[in-house]
Amino acid sequence: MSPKKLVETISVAKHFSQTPGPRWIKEGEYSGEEFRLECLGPAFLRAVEADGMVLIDLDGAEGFASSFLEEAFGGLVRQYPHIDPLPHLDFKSDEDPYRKDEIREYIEEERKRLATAKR
Amino acid sequence: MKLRWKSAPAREFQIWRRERQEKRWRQLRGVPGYGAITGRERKRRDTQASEHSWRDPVELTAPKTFSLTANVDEMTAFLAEVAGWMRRGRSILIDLEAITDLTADAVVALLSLAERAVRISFTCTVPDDPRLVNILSDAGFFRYFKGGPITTEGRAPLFTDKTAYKVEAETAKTLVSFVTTALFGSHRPVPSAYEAMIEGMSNTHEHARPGPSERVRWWASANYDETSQCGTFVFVDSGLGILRTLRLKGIKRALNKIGVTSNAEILRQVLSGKIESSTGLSYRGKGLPKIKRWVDRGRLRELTIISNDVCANVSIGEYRTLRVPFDGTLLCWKLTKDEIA
Repeated sequence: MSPKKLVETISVAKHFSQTPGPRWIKEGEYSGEEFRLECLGPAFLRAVEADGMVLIDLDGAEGFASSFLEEAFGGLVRQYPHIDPLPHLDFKSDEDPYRKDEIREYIEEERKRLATAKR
Repeated sequence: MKLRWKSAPAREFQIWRRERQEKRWRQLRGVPGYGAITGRERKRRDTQASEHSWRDPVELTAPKTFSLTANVDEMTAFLAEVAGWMRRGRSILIDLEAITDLTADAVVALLSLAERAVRISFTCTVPDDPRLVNILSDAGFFRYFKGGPITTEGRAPLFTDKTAYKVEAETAKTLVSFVTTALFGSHRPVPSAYEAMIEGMSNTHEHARPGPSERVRWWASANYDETSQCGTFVFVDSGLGILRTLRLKGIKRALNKIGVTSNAEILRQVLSGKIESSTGLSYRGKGLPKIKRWVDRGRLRELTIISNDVCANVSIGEYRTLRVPFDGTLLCWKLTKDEIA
């Protein structure tokens, strides 16, 4: 399968915040939920419509709590359960290569969980 | 005046009760002819008054090694004693003169305790070692415990701290920046320390509350030791603690079957990601395992977690049960140039 064309690039540090915060909006500023609702979700939908992909640049931020990443990317699976997000997402994380795997793990775990819940 | 009718027994009871109250009032004030208090009772009351005078503070001697990481049993007992007197509303005088060693974790834990006090005065004696006085001063200790210098007298501060209820990502950055600036001369991102701090704040906000309408305050601090060129981060909350927040009913039964019964062993399982979050949702509860992964990858040094009756020295895999439980959760770790690639 040929790679999809790049539709958009989101730099978390530039387009959202250098200091990503907690999971929920109610917990504090720059949450994973806020990132998903304001940046990731709309860009992801545009990429799905165009059958392309979004590049998420994770470099330049102070760090990402697991709850932020899970809510942003695992939350994307919960928000759009009928779309597999992995073909439409690509990641850049030169500062911490483990982060890409962590995000993929959250997405796959959530897809598995939803599939099990359906049965 | 409109009179309300009452039955004879009710009226009699009312009169009897009023007379008894008046008699007791007069007895207490020593009014002659009203059943004077016996000598023995008077003596008992006098002794009680002198022992429990609200004006005289209770004097507590701090452990010589004033550190939760190095002297956890004595320190938790000392903190429990302070908390006990606070609950009784007594003023407290802490004798710090003889302390020979002091770490940020104990200072922050004591401050977080003192911060909760309402209308209780705290005083202290000052340690003999001027270096320790400087650490206490920079930590803001003497703002709560009167008796020591508050100013930093022109030198670079050794300590920075912040307290709040919600997750404050900017605070986490400020604390990391405090240490990296001391180490390298400028700010550098340190994801491990930043993420550990955010996880701590987030766990306090989401899990540590005793009730849905209650808020739990956290304290976060960073300090830098010039001699060892090492930064120390401390995060403390006064919430329920990790082990009490876990809904362990079903899981505990399963763990008991495979021989995991102690809280120390349960915390080990939580950190290794084998026990799900207190929310019961499998996609949550990944924060503590991620912090442990940072330790395993050598990005956090000497991580200690103290919560309820468990003290975990995560870096060396030592999990042990405490004699006196810690009221809340404390995370403490160190950073040197080695951990920052």
